[in-house]
Amino acid sequence: MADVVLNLVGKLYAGNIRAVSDVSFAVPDGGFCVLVGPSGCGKSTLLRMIAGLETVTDGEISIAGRVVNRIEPMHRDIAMVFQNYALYPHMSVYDNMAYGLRNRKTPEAEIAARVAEAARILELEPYLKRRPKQLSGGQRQRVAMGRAIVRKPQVFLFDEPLSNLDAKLRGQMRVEIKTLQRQLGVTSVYVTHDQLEAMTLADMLVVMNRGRIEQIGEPLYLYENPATIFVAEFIGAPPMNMIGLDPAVGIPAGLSGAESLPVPPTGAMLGIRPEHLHLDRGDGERGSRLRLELKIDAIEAVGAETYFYGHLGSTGPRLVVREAGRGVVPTDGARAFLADRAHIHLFDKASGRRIEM
Amino acid sequence: MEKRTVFSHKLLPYALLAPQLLVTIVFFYWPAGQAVYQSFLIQDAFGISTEFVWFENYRSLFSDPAYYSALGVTALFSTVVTVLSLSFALILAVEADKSLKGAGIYKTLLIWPYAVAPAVAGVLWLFMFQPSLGVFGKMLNAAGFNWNPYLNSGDAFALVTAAAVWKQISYNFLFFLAGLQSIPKSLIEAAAIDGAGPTRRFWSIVFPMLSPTAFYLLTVNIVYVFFDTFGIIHTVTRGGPAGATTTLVYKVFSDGQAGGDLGTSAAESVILMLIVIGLTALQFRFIERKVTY
Amino acid sequence: MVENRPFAAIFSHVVLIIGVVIIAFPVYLAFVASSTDATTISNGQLSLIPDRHLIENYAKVLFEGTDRSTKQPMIVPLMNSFIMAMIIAIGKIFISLLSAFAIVYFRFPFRNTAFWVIFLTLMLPVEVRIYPTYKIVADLHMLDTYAGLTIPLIASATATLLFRQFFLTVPDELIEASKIDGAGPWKFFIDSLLPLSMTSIAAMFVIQFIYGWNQYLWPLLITTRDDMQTIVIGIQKMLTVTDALTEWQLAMATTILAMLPPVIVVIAMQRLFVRGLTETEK
Repeated sequence: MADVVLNLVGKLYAGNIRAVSDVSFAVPDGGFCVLVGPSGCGKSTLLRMIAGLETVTDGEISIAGRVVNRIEPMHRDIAMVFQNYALYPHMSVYDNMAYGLRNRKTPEAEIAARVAEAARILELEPYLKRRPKQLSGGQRQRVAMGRAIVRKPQVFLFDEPLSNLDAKLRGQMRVEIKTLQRQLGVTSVYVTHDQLEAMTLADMLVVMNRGRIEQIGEPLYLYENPATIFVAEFIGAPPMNMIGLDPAVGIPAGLSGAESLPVPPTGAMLGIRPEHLHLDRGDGERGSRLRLELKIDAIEAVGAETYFYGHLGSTGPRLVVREAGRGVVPTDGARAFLADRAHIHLFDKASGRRIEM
Repeated sequence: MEKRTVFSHKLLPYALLAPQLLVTIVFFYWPAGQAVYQSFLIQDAFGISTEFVWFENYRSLFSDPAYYSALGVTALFSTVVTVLSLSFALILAVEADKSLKGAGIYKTLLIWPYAVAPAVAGVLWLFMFQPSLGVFGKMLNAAGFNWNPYLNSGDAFALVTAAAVWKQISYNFLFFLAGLQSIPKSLIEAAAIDGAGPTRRFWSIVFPMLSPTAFYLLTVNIVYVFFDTFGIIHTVTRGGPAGATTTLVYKVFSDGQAGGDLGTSAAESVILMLIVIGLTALQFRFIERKVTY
Repeated sequence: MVENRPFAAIFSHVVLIIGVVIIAFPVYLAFVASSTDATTISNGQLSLIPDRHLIENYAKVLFEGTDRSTKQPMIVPLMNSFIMAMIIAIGKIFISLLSAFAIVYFRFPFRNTAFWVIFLTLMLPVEVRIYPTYKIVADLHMLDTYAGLTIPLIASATATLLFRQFFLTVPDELIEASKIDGAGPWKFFIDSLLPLSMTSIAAMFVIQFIYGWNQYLWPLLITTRDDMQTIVIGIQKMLTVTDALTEWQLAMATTILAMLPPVIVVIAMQRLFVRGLTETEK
C-alpha cells in the first residue's frame, strides 16, 4: 500500500503567479488527509499536482516511495473524484466504471466482477445500464466513486466531491465516503472548502491559506489548539470570537479579568469559542475567569441550543455565545458572560501566531 | 478561453492540422497570392509574353466605364436585395413570433428556400417572368407594360432582384425569429404593464434588442449579394442586357473567361478581396460590441 | 401574448399565409410545368392544376435527357451532385474535427499561427481567387475529376470554428478523468470527444451538404465533360438554346429534382439545420 509524501512542493504559474509554496506533509498508508481552506488558497492546485494534472514547479511528490513529478496521471495509480463528477455522458454507468480498466487492458471477466462488486457496495446495481443524465445527483456521485474504486488504485483523490449536492445528501454521502474509505483502507487526499466536512472526514487535516500551510494535525487538536488566527477563525462554526487587545489603548470596555494576559507590545487577539462563554448567573465563583459584558442585539433559539449575538461593552467587537439547551430567555439589554482561562486563546497580532500561556 | 488540461505530444498536433493546412495553403493562399501577383502583369493577346506593369491594370480598370457600371450595379443590387429581404423577413418573423400555435409550422414552410441553389432560384423566376410564355411575363405584357428582361435593363434588374430576395428571405427569417424568441417575454409584459401598446413595444423594446441580429444579417446579406447571386445572374441574364446586371463578381468571371484578360480579372479579384476583408472586419467590430453588450 | 385581440391574430395568420404562398408559388409553378407537355407551355397556356405528364417527363429527363439541348440523361449529374455534396460535407467535417482537436487540446509552437491561417480563409471565398485556383487545379490534372470538384472547397474555417467552439464548452474534467483513466489523445478523441460532438457533427453535415449540392461557379469552370456535370449546371445547360426551343417541362422537372434532396434534408433535419446555421454563423 501507499503513502503520499510532499516535500517542499510549490507551483509557479506562467506570469510569475504563485499558487503554492513550500508545502510539505506526509499522508501515511491508509490515511485520510483533508486539504481545507478558502477558495484560491491553492488546495485544488495541490491536489491536481498529486494527480499529475498540473506540473510541479518546485519540490517533490512521491507516492509509495516513488517520485512521480514526471509521471503521467495514468501511470500514477491514482483515481480521482471530480466536483462535477466528470462522468462520460455518452456511456452507461457500467461503461463509465469499466472505461479505465479497459484502457489498462484488464480482462472483461475481471472488469465485470469488479464493476459488480463496486455496484453492490454503492447500491448502484439497478442503474448499471443507465446514462449519467438519467441519474440523480447523489447517484452520479456514487458512480464517480464507483469509477474510482473499481480501479483499486493506491490513492484516492477527491476534489470537492460533495459541493454539488444539497445539504441533506451531502451529510449522508459524507458518512458513506468515510465508511467506504475505512473499509477499503485506501490512502486518500480530499479537498474541500467546507470546514465541517473537513472536520468530520479527516484523520489528518491540512489547513491552507494563500498557497501555504497554516497548520497540520488531527481535526480536534486543531480545533482546540489553533496555531494561527486564520485557523482559529476558519475551523469551527460559528467562528471563534476575536477581541483585539492593544496595550497602548488598554483593556476594552466590558472585559474584565484580562489584565494578567501576556499581551506583547504590538498587541494581541484574544480568542474565545462561542460554547466557552457562559451566562454569569451571579451564583458561581468568579475566580480567575474572564468576565465579558455584552449588549445583546439578537437571540436565536434553535431547540438544542441558544445563540446570543451582541457587542462587547456596547460598541466593541461583535461576539457570539452558544448556550446548551434553551437557556434562559433574557430580555434585550446587557448581559454578562464568563469564560474559563483554560479555554481562551491568545494570538500575536503582528504575526498571527499563537501565544502559549 | 483555454483548456486547463491538455495533451503533451510533439508531433501529433501538426499531423492533425496537416490536412486542413495543406488544402488551405494550396487552394486558398497560393491562388490568392497568384491573383495579387497577376494583377500586376499584362499578357499580350497570344499569351506569349508577360510584362510586369505595377498598377497599370488597376489604372485601366478605374478608367473603364464598364467597371464603374459594375460597381454601381453591385451597390444598387446589394442595397435593394438587402433592404427588401430583411424587411420581408422581419415582417414574417414578427408575425410568426406572435402566433403561439402556428409558429413551428410557418417556420417549416418558410425556411426551405435556403436549400434551393441560387441558380435554381434564378431558373424558377425566369420561368415565371419569361416574356412570351411565363405566367407573369405574359400578364405584364397583356397589361401593356412591355415587359422583357432580355432586352430591357430595368426589367432584367428587377427579375434578378426578385429571385435574390426570394432566396434570401428564409435565412433572414430564421435569424430574426431566433432573435425575437430570445427576447425575454417578461420584458414585453413589463412594457405592456408600463402602458406601451403593441406598436410602441415593438419600436422601443423589440427592435433595439433585435439590432445586433439585424446588423449581423446586414453584413451577411451584403456578402450574399456580392458572391452567391452569381448563379442567379448567370442563369437568368448572363450579366445583360448591356451590363445592366453585371456585378463585380460576374465581371471577374466574364473578363477572365470570355476576354481571357487575366491581369484585369486578377485586379478585379484583388479589389473584391479588399471589400470582403473590409466587410469581415466590420462584422468583427460588431461581434466585439455584442460581447460587451 | 399580452393582448387578447382575435383580430390581430387573424391578421398575423393572413400575413404569414401570404408569405408562405409567395415563397412556395415559384416552386409550385415549376412542379405544374413539370407535369405538362411542351405545347401547353410554349403556347403560354399553363394552368395552375397539375397535368398528367408527370411521370413521363421525369422518366425522360432522368434516363434520356432533352431532345434539343444537352441530350444527357440527368441521372448522371444527379449522382455527381450527390457524390460532390457528400465528399465536401464529410471531408470538411473530418479535417475540421482534426484541426479543431489539435488547436484546442494541444499546446505547441505556431498554434496561434495555425489558427489564424485557418481563420483568415473566411476572407477568401472562391470567387475572389477563381482563375488562379482553376489554374492550380488544372496543373494538378484535377479538371473533370471529383477531387478537383471537391478538395479546393473542403477547407472550411466555419466548421473548424464551430468544432473549436464546441470543444471549448466540453468540461475540463472530462479530459482529466480520461487521462486518469489511462486514455491517450487518440483514445480520448474517439471514445469521448467524438460521441459528444455527434449533434454538432450532424448539424454541420446538413449545412455543408447543402453548400456542396448548391455549388455553381466552381463546377461550371472545373467540369467540361458531360459525365462530370452537376445537376444545377445541368439545368443551366438546358436553357442555353434560344427560348423558343427550351423544353421547359423538362427543365422544370430537372429543377424540381435539383431542389428535392437539399430541401428534404432541411425539412427532415430542421432542428439540426437551424442549430447548425445559427451556431456557425455567429
